[in-house]
Amino acid sequence: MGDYVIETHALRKEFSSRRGGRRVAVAGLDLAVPEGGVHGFLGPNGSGKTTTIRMLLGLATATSGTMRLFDTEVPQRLPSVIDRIGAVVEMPKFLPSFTGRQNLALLARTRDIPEERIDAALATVGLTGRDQDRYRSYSLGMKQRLAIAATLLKQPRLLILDEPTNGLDPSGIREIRDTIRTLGEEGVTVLLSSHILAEVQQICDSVTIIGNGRMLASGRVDDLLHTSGGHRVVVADPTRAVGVLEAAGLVVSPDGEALRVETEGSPEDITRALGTAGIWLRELTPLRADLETVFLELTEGEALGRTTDPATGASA
Amino acid sequence: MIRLVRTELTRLRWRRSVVVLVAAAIIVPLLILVGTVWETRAYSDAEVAQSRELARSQPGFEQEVRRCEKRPRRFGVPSAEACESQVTEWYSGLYRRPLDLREELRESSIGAASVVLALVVLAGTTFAGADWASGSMSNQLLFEPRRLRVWLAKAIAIGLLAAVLTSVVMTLYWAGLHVAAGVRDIAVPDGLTGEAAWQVARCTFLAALGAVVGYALTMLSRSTVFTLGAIFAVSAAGSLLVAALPLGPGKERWFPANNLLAVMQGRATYYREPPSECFGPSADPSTWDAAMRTMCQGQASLSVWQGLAFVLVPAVAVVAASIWSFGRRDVP
Repeated sequence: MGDYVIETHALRKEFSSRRGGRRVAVAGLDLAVPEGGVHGFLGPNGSGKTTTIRMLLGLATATSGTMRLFDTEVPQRLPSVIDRIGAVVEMPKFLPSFTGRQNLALLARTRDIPEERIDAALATVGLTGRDQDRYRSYSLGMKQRLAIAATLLKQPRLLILDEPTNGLDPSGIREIRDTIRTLGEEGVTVLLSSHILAEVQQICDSVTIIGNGRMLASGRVDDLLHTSGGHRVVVADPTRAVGVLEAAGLVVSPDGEALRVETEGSPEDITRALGTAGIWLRELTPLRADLETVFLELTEGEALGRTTDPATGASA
Repeated sequence: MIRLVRTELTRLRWRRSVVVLVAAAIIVPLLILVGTVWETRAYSDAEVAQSRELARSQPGFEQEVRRCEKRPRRFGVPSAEACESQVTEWYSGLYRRPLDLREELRESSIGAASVVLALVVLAGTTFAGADWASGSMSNQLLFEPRRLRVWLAKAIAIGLLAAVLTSVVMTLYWAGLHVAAGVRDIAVPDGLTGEAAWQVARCTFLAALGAVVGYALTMLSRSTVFTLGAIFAVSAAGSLLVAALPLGPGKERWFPANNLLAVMQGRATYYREPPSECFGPSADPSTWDAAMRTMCQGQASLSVWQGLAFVLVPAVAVVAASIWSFGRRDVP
């Protein structure tokens, strides 16, 4: 306790379906987001990401389970920590007939936030020149930026962003990505829910992957990628090398002129087996899976419970 | 809480639809005032002379005077000498009534107050509806998660707006009528200013309540269209529904319009079917007391307190349901 900014335990959310039954959106989720850095929150559509975020922010009621933000039980004591939290949930939601500045001003006045901070937030997201335009005239990208500006008004210690780069052009995506990374480096904890896995891989220090409302994997990005790897091996006589490696109990498959050897981590087994047989390596390259591969493997296979401690990286 | 209320007042001030409704709530009563003053203006001597000349030139005028002179009482005059004047009056079309402030208590001021009431209910409805339609309610809750506070701040803001608007508009309305009476040398009846002030107070309360109920209903349904439909259904079909229910004689007591009128006017009189004791050979009006006489005339009245109770019970139910719902339901 204390190392985590967000914690949920056995969090469950059920909805009444129109056909009279109950639909489970979140099924006993244990989530732990360490303080500082950017934490990715991944899952396919309908996996329960947004519902989890909405429960954390008091917008939806949990059916059962507990939630803590900054070591404070929520939603019971959410008002005491809300000043430290900024969030964009799903699409930006503002009054369309108001200008961007008016929308921010109303939110700022709710918490007695000074006007100067509105200027700063608008400048951060690059909306300074368009703040007097009506919200309805904004492009989707500008709406996203305004939503992010709204989160910055409170100078949050925890930023929860649900698909923040939706609708942005490439330069906009890059700007927001840089902003998120900078905030993470400045000590703000960012929970980033996104479908863009390459983006998550680039920005995030740790990640939680959920599917069907349950956690599938959680840990540091490096560790998750590492566990899915193998090695690319290039030798003069691949045919003989296959026999040697398979005799050593390794799984080998051809990969063009090279071989792909599945290992549980260290390449020592490969070098020892080949060296003993007098086969000398020309190339030995660790094959690191990208997050997309890991994500697809997990969400297709629903490998429940494979977790590592997000704070330490140790397997659980 | 004060900060939240001030924020909501700003939100109201910035909402264009609310500004338009407020402007309409000022302009329409002003037009009613101007219309009332215009319609009760005295005839000029030239108008009277011209109308009488026109009347006398109409075919049948002379015959009508002669018929009146034969039977003056049938024409509502005491003697044949008054016939020409009476028939001239009828034929001239000089029916314009003079300004009567006591009558305005039951007539034009109720019309003006009804317009303001309808507009502030609309303002309350659209105020909450915009938050739900745009989805900005969730944004607001990310800055103030205490939902009861948010609900109350918005209710206070719209209630305040309705109360201030109604009291100002209706006070100005009565001030305008007083000025018109003063200019025309019409004496203000004793106690009328007090009665008008009391009416302004009742209408102000009703408007604030109406605006809050409109707001509460929209917070409950999360849809302006639903709320407007519900209000329209109650106002249009409410009386029909009550009439169709087997409530026995005097069911008109439950008509929404009668009860609203009772609050605005201080007392409302409505038609009530006389009981069978009022008819037949055994009915002897000379033995009836005042209450029986009123009953047999087919009249009954509703006091302001009966009207208030009728209005307050559903209002409290809607407000309670709205607060409960907003506190518990997920916010999209």
